[in-house]
Amino acid sequence: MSTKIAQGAPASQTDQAVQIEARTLAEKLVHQRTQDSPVLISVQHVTRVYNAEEDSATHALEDVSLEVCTGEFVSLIGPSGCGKTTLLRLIAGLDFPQAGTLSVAGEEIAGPSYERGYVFQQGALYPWATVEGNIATGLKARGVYREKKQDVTRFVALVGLTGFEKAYPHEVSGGMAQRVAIARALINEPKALLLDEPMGALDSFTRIELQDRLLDLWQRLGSTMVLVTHDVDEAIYLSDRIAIMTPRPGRINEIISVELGRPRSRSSPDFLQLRSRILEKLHLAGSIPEPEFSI
Amino acid sequence: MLDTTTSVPARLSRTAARTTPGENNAAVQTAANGVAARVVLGKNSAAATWAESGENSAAAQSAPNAVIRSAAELTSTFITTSKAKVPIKATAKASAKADPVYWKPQSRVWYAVAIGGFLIALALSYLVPDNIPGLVRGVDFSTDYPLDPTNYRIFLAAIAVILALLYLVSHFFHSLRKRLLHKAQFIFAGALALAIWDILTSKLFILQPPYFPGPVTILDYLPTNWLNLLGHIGASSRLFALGLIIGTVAGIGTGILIGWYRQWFYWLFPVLKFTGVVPATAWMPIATVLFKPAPVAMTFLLVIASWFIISFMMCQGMESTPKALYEVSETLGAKRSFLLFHVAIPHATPSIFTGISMATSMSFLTLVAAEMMGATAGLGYFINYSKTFSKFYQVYAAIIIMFIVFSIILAIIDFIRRRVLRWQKGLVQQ
Ligand SMILES: Nc1ncnc2c1ncn2[C@@H]1O[C@H](COP(=O)(O)OP(=O)(O)OP(=O)(O)O)[C@@H](O)[C@H]1O
Ligand SMILES: [Mg+2]
Repeated sequence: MSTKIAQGAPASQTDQAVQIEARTLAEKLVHQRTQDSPVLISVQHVTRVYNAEEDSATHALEDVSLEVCTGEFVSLIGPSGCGKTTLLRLIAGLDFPQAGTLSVAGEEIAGPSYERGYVFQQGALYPWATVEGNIATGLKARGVYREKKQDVTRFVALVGLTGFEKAYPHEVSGGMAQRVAIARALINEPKALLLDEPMGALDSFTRIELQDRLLDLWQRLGSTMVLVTHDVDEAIYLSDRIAIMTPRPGRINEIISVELGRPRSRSSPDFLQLRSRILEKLHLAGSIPEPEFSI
Repeated sequence: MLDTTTSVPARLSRTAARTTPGENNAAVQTAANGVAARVVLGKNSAAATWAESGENSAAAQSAPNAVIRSAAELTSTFITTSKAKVPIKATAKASAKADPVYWKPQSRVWYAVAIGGFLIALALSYLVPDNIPGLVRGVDFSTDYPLDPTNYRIFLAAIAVILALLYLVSHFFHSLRKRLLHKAQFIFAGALALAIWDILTSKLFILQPPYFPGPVTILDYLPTNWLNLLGHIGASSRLFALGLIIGTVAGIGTGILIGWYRQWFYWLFPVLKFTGVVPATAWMPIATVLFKPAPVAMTFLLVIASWFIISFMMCQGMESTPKALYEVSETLGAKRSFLLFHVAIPHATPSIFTGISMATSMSFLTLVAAEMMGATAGLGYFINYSKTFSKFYQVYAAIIIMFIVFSIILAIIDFIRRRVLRWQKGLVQQ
């Protein structure tokens, strides 16, 4: 669908100029890190085109570069269809680019690995396994279940699901299901956790609760997080850096460092200022209808 | 208390809607929503009552409308009545109606009527005079045709007693009670059908032997010949179990192979499709030549009958596994074998059971057909042989036994299915 629009409305010259400017800016920002720790995930000039052979080719990502440092919390934000999921899948090794390189800890990504945990937009829990069984899957898949059995109880507790071990996925709430998905990915103690809108389908209460829990897990386990989100508040509340993406073709427009101390208050003036700055940027990108972010 | 409050909005909105002749629907909606919101927020606290009247008056003010005011009034009157136990009854009624499974009236009267039905059938068996003709269509009733009603009467009495006992027992099992009362009308109809059947056949001979034996004849025959019958049941069951088990194992095996490996799919799937389209009984002439002792040939037919459908369902169940489940498993460190045994096969289990259920029916069909054509034992053979001697009551007896045996087999399979697919409980309509 996006391609149709792209073909129907060719970008005007000024638009192109703005985009080029934004790109050079983004490239500069790639190297401007908030932390001094070593780079964990490195995405260099990656292009991913869906249905490349057909006329309906979709440029989901074009020349995207991003570096995520060890222990960092990075959010990808942008309108629907701008390639957030595509980028995350590339990092996970579930998909491969047409051009560019992706590496983790200096090694090129050759496929999925338990070192990069992935939480799907819809959870993707095994309906036939209990909460406990779902969380234990990673250990079983790696063949270390026997030695690390007690980890299951620990991670069930970490995401606050004690008492629900024997429940099946359809018997728990949406927020609990997402916590199961997070615990299931974290039990392998991955170097990086990739989260694709894990809170997209949740109400705002559950969402805030889960955000705090995610933050707690991040700080406690010291893992690296890459979070895809639609929600500016969520991105600011959680992240060290926020990558703003624009669609058609999918690009990282700008990377913003969030220089706010933790714990953050959602109503502090700095927070609100940053929020309106990001919203403005997203509007500049010309893709977000106003009401989506108004509260 | 909680129940009474939650029953408010539905009732109110209904009454409110009735009082408005469609002109002010939006306004009514607001009022109803106000009440609904209040109920949700305040659940069972006394404060809820106050919150509610407050909200309602607010709604009434904001919408200058007589209807709203009347709706508010209605609510307040309703609250007073709610203390007078009226809505409790309403809720009880609503929850009884809400039971989607046992929706028939949960009435003891109907259950008594059902038991009474069997007593009536019993009484009719005594009261309606026998009208035995000397000879009907070559059947000599004095020697050959069982007509002693004792077993039939014992049977009726036993059912009445069992029903009564079940009722007593159901005091301790709530779900059994609900089920019994739900079935009461059907049980009564069954009793009536028995009585009518008896009168039309063994009493008045309006439906005549040998083609239409009565329950008296069948029940008189069954217990006296149970050893003979048991032999036939055993022969059929053995074949059936053997064929179905081999077919299931082979079916699951090939299902996994064709569902998982391209090469197997390429070579085996067309073969399977071919054998699946041809009815298993069509193989019979070939099978009897190929496999020498007849039971082996029949087992072969049963295997053919169940093999295709089970492997087909297995393959389909595996192929319909959402890609996301494979992908998430890979990001958890799963190798290919893990994907097969912990993702694809678990995902296919519901399909396997569908396949097994279908295979059971197919195998049963094949079994009876094969036995009728070329066997020396088994229920199918027994039916055929009884027909040759015009002993149709034996045919009926065999049909009843088949029904019972098949029901038991299905119940066993269903029991296993419920066990294995426990995770599906509440996920699908069962
Ligand atoms: N498998 C696919 N085949 C073809 N096109 C695809 C495929 N996956 C994604 N796309 C296209 O690529 C573009 C980017 O998709 P992507 O899923 O990455 O967006 P997104 O930013 O995650 O959107 P959302 O926020 O709605 O999840 C979209 O235009 C989409 O139509
Ligand atoms: Mg997405």
